[in-house]
Amino acid sequence: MRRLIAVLALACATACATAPPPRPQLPPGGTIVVVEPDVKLALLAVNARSIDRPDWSAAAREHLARHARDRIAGGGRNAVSLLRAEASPQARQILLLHDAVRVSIRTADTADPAPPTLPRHRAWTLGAGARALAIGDATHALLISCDGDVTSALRGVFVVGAAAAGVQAPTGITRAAASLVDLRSGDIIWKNSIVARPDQDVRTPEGAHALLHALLDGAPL
Amino acid sequence: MIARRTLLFGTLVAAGCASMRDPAPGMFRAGDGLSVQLDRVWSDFTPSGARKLRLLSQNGPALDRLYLAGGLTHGEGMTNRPKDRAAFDATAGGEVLASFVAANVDALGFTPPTLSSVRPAPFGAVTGQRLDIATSTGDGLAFTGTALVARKESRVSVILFLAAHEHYFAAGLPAVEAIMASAALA
Repeated sequence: MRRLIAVLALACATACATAPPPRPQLPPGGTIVVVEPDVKLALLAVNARSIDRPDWSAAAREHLARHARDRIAGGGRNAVSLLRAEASPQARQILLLHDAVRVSIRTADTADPAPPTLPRHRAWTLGAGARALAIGDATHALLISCDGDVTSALRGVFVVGAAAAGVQAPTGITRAAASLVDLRSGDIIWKNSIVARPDQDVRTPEGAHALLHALLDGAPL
Repeated sequence: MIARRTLLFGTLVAAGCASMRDPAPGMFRAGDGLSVQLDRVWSDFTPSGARKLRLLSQNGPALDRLYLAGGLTHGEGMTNRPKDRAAFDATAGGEVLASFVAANVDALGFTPPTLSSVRPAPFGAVTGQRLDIATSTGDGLAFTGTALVARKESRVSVILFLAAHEHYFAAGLPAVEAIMASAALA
């Protein structure tokens, strides 16, 4: 009996240690700042060289921002845009801090074993300075980033040929991440990151919509 | 734009730290002759190949870094191949300690720092120097820091804390102050 209790206690402790935090709730109505998505896309050439494509990045940035605003409006809330070029110096610092926090989140999510102070479901914050992102009476901010390489047609042919010869050659992938920040506390109350599927090509409105739908799945918006 | 270099640095550091044993509360030795008391668990992000230096962090090195360098001798610094003033000059006087720290902050990948409030401070049983630091990452994220440095005989030891100016420096400082107060040099 004692052994059974110990096993149950251990199982409970394990479940408690690995369970994700409870899903946050946002009050109805309200205003959410949509920070201009941080997008950097490149072409993966046949020689595996990555060539920046600012035109693709600009198009994807526009598509993702529009779909994010639509998603928020669809939830009965107001969406206001914050362009990175127009952000105050303090707001720019917060955006850089968010990038740094994302690095730590990625470490927490992927390191094996995870560093002891970076467990997978730990809380993250941008601190009280996050209110620099606020516009008007906004209570939260949505930050989206997306970067990756798009495989060129020639590279695709090369990869297929290499595979036929038994050699594995890398293709491009696109990653995206999103954070929802409480602008009063600076706490990141929800976050997600995904790797884009082939039908989630953010260079097109439809692909960007599909990616954003997956990225914001479960977001309290 | 996104902090690509920060992302790359974090990935490299995370990759390099996997084999290190993470420090637990209690006495913690770093390098040659430096010991401190830790009041909590830290994550160890010491780069592979570092000999007399440990890099600890609470939130990941992209956000906060505590460097503990113990017993560096002539020609050694806080990086593997220190150059110029980042290499300890055992023939120079104590006035070079602050510039030694500044040069190492630069060598560790930050912008050349601004030092302030350089003042005498106890480092274990010897008197060293305490100084405050303002710097930033290559991407422009402002970092604030504080350091305690002392020379004992022909060796120098450093406790250097650098953290994002926004939130993370102030959040981490109390624990670092306690670590600095507990430092001892053998």
